[in-house]
Amino acid sequence: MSETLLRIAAITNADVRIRFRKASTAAIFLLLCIAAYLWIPDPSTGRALLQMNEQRALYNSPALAMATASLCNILLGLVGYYMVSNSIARDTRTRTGFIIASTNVRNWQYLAGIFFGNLVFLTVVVFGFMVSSMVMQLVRGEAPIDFASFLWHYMILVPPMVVFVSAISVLFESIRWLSGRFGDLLYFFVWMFVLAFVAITAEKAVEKPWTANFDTFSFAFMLHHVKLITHSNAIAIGSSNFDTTKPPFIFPGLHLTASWIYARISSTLYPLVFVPAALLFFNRFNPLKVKSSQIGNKRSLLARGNALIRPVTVPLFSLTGSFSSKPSMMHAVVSEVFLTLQLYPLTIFLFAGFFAASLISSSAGLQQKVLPVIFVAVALILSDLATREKRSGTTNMIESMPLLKPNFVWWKLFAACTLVLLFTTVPFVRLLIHHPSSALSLLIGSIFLASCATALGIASGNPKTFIVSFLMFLYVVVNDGGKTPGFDFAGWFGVATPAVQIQYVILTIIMTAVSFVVYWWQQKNR
Amino acid sequence: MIRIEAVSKKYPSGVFGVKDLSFTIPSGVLGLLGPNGAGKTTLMQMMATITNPSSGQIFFQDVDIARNPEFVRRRLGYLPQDFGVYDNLTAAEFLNYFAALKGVHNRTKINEMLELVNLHTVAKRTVGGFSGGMKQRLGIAQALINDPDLLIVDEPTAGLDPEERVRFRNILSDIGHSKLVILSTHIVSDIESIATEIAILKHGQLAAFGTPEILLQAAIGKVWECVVSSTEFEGMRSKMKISSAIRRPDGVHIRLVHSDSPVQGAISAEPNLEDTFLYWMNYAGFAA
Repeated sequence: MSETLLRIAAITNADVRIRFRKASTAAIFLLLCIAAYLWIPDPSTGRALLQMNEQRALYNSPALAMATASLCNILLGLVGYYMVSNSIARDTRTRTGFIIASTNVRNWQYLAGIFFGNLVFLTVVVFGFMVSSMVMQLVRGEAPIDFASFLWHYMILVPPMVVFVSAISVLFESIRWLSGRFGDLLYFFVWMFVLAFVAITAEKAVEKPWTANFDTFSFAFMLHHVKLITHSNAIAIGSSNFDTTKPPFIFPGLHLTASWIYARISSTLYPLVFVPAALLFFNRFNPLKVKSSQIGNKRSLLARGNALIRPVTVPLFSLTGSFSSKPSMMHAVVSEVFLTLQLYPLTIFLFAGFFAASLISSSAGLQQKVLPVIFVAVALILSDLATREKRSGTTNMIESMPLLKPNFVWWKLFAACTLVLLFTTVPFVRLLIHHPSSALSLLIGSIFLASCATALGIASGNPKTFIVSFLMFLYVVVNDGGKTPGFDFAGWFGVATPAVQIQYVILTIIMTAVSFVVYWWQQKNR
Repeated sequence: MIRIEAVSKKYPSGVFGVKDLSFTIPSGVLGLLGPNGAGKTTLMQMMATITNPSSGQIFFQDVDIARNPEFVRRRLGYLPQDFGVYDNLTAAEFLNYFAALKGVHNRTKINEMLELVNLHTVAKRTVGGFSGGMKQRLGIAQALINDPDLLIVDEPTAGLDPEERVRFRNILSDIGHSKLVILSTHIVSDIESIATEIAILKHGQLAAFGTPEILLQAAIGKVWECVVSSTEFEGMRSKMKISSAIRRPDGVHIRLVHSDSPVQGAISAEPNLEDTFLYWMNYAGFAA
């Protein structure tokens, strides 16, 4: 093997080993098993994984393989990105990047190594997902399992997404202002755009649309075949209700015709352009750039905005001094809230903007437009709260302060609740007048959000865990548009029943309990 | 040989990290001394080709390293300051990774390095559980794995226990016989025992450059020892550079650096490197 290949292989190998030895990877595989269990319901419950024109598909291997591979694409497109987009950041943080920069590894070799590392890791995740789906066929299947059929469907549907996520994460990580939380948020919109871009054109098209050449989610390909079978677009993938009076149909599986071969290859290969594009932005751990991001925290667009606004907000923060009379939990919570505002002065301006929007918007606008945006903004702010100490290495310092170690979870939870309620109090008061039930949902949803941020932050020590989980949940909630009361967690659609509200109260208690258990376990193992 | 010619590094803020630095060192061990922010790390990063000078040139074996960084990278071992590790890799895997990046494919070399830094017994343990000193030793091993002609180590002995420090100093000293070693440290005794040349940096500029003997010579007659009362000591502490002070029943025994006798009865003492450093930082100008 040539020197170049050996170097790329070494980078890939190290990257994959590092990822697979993390506890979070085991958690991902566990979640995949749970997801497969939930997505492939027992048809006797009136719900099924795949249906066309409300007629459910018999659980044979082609049906389960196609449906789970499609779901895998959606999941991988979002979660996969957040799982792999931290390789360059890791080398920067550990300063091993400086050593790499001092060797004769070329920039393209390094980025190629990272890209292949992502590719291998995501491929194994997909394989894990496929295996859990196959296990579910053994549990709930209605036909003999066909390994080849599973492999075939995953091979023709998933590779474009694996390549896309592997390549775009290298690009985002190489661009300074996209490598932080702004990039994480922007990627969510990129994901939605890519999802909608092909799906919309494919739904309307009679023949193969031109967008089929950029079919990352494999929707165009799948829809085309479904149309050939059912002569309609009415396909539903994911656990949903079907018409029990209609008999199940047998899905024959997808076939790759000659006319589609080029489109599938093109869809798989076009994202590769992101890797050479990343070369234009990769700074090879130049200390001038690394230093400013680490010390000055001026890397991302959000951080730049915060730095710009900070001088304006300084007088406000001088108030914090007046709170420090003697140690108490209340002082600790208030100090934590002020610290968050100091770290992210943009929050003050967001607060002012949302305050005004909450006052002037119509009732429906407030619920369905302003509140979702408020929740996205607050989620970004909260994501840092419970992970701050771990990431900045101040855990020992914080734990040596009075009251904080035994009350760490309460401290973080109350600070998170205070921050959310800062933003949702005005909407809450307005809803209380016109829609008291929605106001109660909003209050419950606010505390639910705070408890999730605290639990996931403490458990993972990584803000991305909460951001990605929340954005996925948000996507489901917004897409559902209030059709399912169970998703109306914060009164956005006014359809939450008392049972749903109780459900979120229970979930809040569970998440808080999780925070305590995980924190206790972490302390025990330190 | 490394030759630095009028090298400056100017940050976007307009501040100079290093300003107009020039010196040449053929081989041996060059110790970089200077307070925090003096430009030691910036200079080392430029020599390690991680960042380029804003002006001036650095030559290694007469090759301009900014124009041909690959030349020096093939012959370089580098250990950055505050070096971290990949917690989930074992010590052997970690070294294997950097060996591959440096084009070293001799697997016995990994064992050799682990033995050299006394980590061979924990080669299969993940480095996340290592102490700070063990991680530092692993960093040193990766810097040495390609038998570098130029070894640049930034604060290498931080976190090492006294025995390991001595062991590491001996390793550097051995390498310095045939190769060029550049190290920075705050621990003056580390440099004192192994450096063949010393560069003292102050505000990004060269305050002094030469062999330890030459630098020590400049401080002769500037180091004093005396016994003073506590009250006198408080007064002197704010005005003079005191290198040591021990409170004893008969008064405070102090050793200080000053251009002339600080008090009546003060005895001129033989300077050590620590005194010399204080002298160059506080009483001398910049090297020509």
